[in-house]
Amino acid sequence: MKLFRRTPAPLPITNVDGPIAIIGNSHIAALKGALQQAGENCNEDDFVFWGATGRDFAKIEFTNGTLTGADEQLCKQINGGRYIDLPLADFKAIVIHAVAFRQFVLVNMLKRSGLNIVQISTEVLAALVEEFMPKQGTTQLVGDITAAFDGPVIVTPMPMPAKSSGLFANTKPSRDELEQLQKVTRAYWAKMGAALVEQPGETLSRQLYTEDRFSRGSLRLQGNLSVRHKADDFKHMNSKYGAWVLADVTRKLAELQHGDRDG
Amino acid sequence: MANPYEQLPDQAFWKPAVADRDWCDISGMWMPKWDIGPDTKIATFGSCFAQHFSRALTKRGFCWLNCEALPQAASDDLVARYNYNIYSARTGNIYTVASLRQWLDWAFGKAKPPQEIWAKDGRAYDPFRPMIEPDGFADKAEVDRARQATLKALRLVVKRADLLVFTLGLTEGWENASDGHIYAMCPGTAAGDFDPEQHRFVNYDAAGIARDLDHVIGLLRTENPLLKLLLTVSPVPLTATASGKHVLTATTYSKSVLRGAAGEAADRYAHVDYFPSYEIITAPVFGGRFFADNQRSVTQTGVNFVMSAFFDALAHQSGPDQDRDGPAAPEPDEATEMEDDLVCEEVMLEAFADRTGSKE
Repeated sequence: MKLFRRTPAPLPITNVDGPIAIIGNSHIAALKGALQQAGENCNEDDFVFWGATGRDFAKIEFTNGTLTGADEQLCKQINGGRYIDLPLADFKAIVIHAVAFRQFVLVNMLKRSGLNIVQISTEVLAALVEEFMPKQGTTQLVGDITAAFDGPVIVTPMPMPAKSSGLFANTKPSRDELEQLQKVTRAYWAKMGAALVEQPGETLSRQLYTEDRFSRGSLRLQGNLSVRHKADDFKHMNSKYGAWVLADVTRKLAELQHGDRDG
Repeated sequence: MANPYEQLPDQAFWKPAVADRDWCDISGMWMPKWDIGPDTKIATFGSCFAQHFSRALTKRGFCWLNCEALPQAASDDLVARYNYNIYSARTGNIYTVASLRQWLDWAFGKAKPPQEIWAKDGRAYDPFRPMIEPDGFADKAEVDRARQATLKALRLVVKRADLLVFTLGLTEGWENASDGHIYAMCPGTAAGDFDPEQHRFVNYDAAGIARDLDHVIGLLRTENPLLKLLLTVSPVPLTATASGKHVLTATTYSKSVLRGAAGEAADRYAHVDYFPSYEIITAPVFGGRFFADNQRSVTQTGVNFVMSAFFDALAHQSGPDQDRDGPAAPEPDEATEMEDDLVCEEVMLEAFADRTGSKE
């Protein structure tokens, strides 16, 4: 995990085979915003956004290779109505952004019990992760998708909240602890048939919050992404964040598409 | 007064206190030196029998101190598999006073843990708690890191506890012949390889145990001047002895020495007390009724009887108007099944018994 690389993230790489479906909840707005701002530097048509916000994501189902259950109006807004249902066979790769892995919840759960994550054995940590993941609800969906889809599937974690959340005020996790955990979560998702692309290190503060410059001005997943979240929203991220994530995701996709499928 | 015996209460005399009573009416065997209540922060360590204390304390709503716990969301199976929530830090069973001294010396920087690691099937095992992770650790670095977590937890326990209950289990143990560090078990049993040049048997004697106990008491006093210590001796006989003697006489030696050491410490120090687990289970007046068919495992009935004696004495201590009946007799229909769900490495030694009897 690289630290404090302050140069702007490279814009999405074009050497991925599209189209690519980006599935998720409200957090996919950050990625969509990044693509919109990339302009001529990428082909937006290569990317199809699909999903549901908030609790509506629990209504998403996967049957016979097709994802269903999304709100039609939302789909019209985020993918121009190209896909109300999402047949995965139409795509070369799938990215499941944020909705499948609440990493910050896992970190906080471990830290609140007083543990130093670095000092937990890999086996115990893996056992804890195995117990934690199914409780998130969308893990089964990811498993169903990876079982049915031949191309690469990438999972990205929900971003760490901003500092104003105060989430880690008492637990103070360290980067070493996050790296220890990521070894295990990477292996977990690989076993599920997906490649985990972690939150870019450049977006994290030393205290493992997402830096404020990535959370300010975050956009709602609606319309043409012209509506901002409230100023005190510490959960959602902006297009700058989306750009970093897309860069890492497309880099990983390029690697997977030229080699064996991860997991 | 013609002589001091005239002033003594009934409990000082065998006939009224023992012979003339039903076994379940024998009471007053422990008169706690201090009040211990639900708010007392109690830590527990020791041999397998010690696990009953942590369970009973938790069940009764007492404040059992656990400074090395997994998240509450972790399943009971996961917690049990990796030996969390058994003792107040994840030391595993501590069978001897020397081992307790060693753990505390490491925790408080008086000595450094050695570099030795045991290997088995490509995994690394901690020689000082070889079964703490049933499949071992990935490598030595992981063993070292995990042990650091336990040592930190042990420091926290000592600093935070009001009372530490230590169950003395064995006098027999195995040491490293070069450095003197003390293994939890004989190398080559749970993991590792036995090397007669490197590994020596030790049967701690009364003087040695007293020295180690004094060291432990002194160290605890330094780190937490308010911490009290409750000693008890495990009634469970040895699974096996490497002393060359019959296991029954070796058991008697061990328990006698431990009982002597614990009793002397309790007499010498105001902040040290002794609780008679050993007597409650093994005294002839109880007729061996608390042992399972193998004459070694303590039945659940026996455990309940011991713990009832413990809590009844505490209740009497805090409420002088309470009836002075003995600990509650077990319910007539209570199962006398073996207490076989303890985590006990020592019982592994049974696997090495010569089953043909050719060693008679």
